[in-house]
Amino acid sequence: MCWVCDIYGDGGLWYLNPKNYARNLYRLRTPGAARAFGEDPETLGLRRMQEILETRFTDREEFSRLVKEANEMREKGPFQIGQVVPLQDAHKMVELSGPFAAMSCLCRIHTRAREERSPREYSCGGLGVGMLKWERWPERYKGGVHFMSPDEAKEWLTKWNKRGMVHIPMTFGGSFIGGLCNCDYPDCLVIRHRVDYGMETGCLKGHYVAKVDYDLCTGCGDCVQRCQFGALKLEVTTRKANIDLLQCFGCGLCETGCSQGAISLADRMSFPMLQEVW
Amino acid sequence: MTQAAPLSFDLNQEMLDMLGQRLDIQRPVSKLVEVLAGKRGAEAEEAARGIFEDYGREWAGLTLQLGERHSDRTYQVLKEVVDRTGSFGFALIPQRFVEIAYLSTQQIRSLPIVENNNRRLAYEMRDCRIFEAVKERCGEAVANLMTCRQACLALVRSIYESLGLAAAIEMEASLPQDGCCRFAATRA
Repeated sequence: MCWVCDIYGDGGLWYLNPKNYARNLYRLRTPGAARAFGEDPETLGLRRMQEILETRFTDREEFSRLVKEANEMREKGPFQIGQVVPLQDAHKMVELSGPFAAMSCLCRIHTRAREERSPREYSCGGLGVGMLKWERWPERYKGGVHFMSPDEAKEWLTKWNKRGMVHIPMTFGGSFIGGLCNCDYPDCLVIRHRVDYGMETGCLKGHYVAKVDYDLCTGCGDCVQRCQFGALKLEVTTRKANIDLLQCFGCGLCETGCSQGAISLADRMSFPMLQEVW
Repeated sequence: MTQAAPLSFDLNQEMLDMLGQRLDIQRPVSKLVEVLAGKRGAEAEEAARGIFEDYGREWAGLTLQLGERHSDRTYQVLKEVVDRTGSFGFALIPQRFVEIAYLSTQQIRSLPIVENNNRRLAYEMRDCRIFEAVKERCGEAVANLMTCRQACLALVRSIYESLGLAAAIEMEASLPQDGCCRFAATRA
């Protein structure tokens, strides 16, 4: 189990624990107290992340120290917790949450200046009763949100999986899972922060790793193109796919993209050398 | 042309105050005190159950009536989502009324919801005013019998029945033993 499961899993996978999707619809304000429009956890974490990233050109040693410190903060830090999950687990998550809404991706606006303008383009998923109040943040949800039934949400996730996107659930304050995004490198900030800068909390490796059945692999190379994490290559001598288990995030994109059924997912914990690699 | 002010996302405070006044938790507890003075053993327990069941049904009836009359934007969007998707109504529509019921009668700012999905609604209650009132007026031994649970069970059962949703209602934890009461509605 990863450290998030130890804290929020109640003995199982943290993102399959129904408790982590549950939230009240209403909260009464304390009499006399002004409404707190404080920074949301997402903004707070991103701001701290930016401060750390700004040191990477001015003070390399300080940058390394801050990244290490941020990774060691784990759930006590200001960062959202996210973890790569394969499609089958993303489908299970849909059953545990509600309502489920698709919306435009903030990362792609920041990194690509690309705005997703219609439900057909929306690639971010919002989970839980907080989505019922989306109109409170018109700037964030410009263009609106698109509510889906669980079956529609599963189809939507499958569509993005086919397009090569990694599914990442994210927390919004404590253990509450308020997002399930379809991400890719380099558009997605949490993947980019992980892969480029080593900041782990927003994009932990998943509970699986991919393995290849060499008898079935034809060496077509489709899986190599789908890997966001540089874990796959075609072995020159054998002309077969080869997976670097230490690099593998367990997203399962190679598995769903393999027309030969040559790739499957195995439990990360079944490999002693990977048990602490998140 | 004048436009109606947009509805708040929060619950209507007047409605909460009104419910709080009309559903005074001291009322069933006073009846319990009377019953315990005149009856003993199983007979007293049976009567106590009846008192709290009646209170729970009344609690649900008034909550549904006023909760429907005093809508809010959260509820409007919720109903739109349920209509649009055909999902999420099992937990979330009853959840609204359960939250109103507790927020209007208990001294809490929010109700801890521990599960709300298409299959189940579950919530917990820690500092319960009804339990405390029974303890204060009838003693800890009587309070620990948890006859008051009938009020919460009847509340949730009545809400689900009134909304036409088939559910199995259960109490999964109790204050004296577990530090909180937990009630759950599971899709039947």
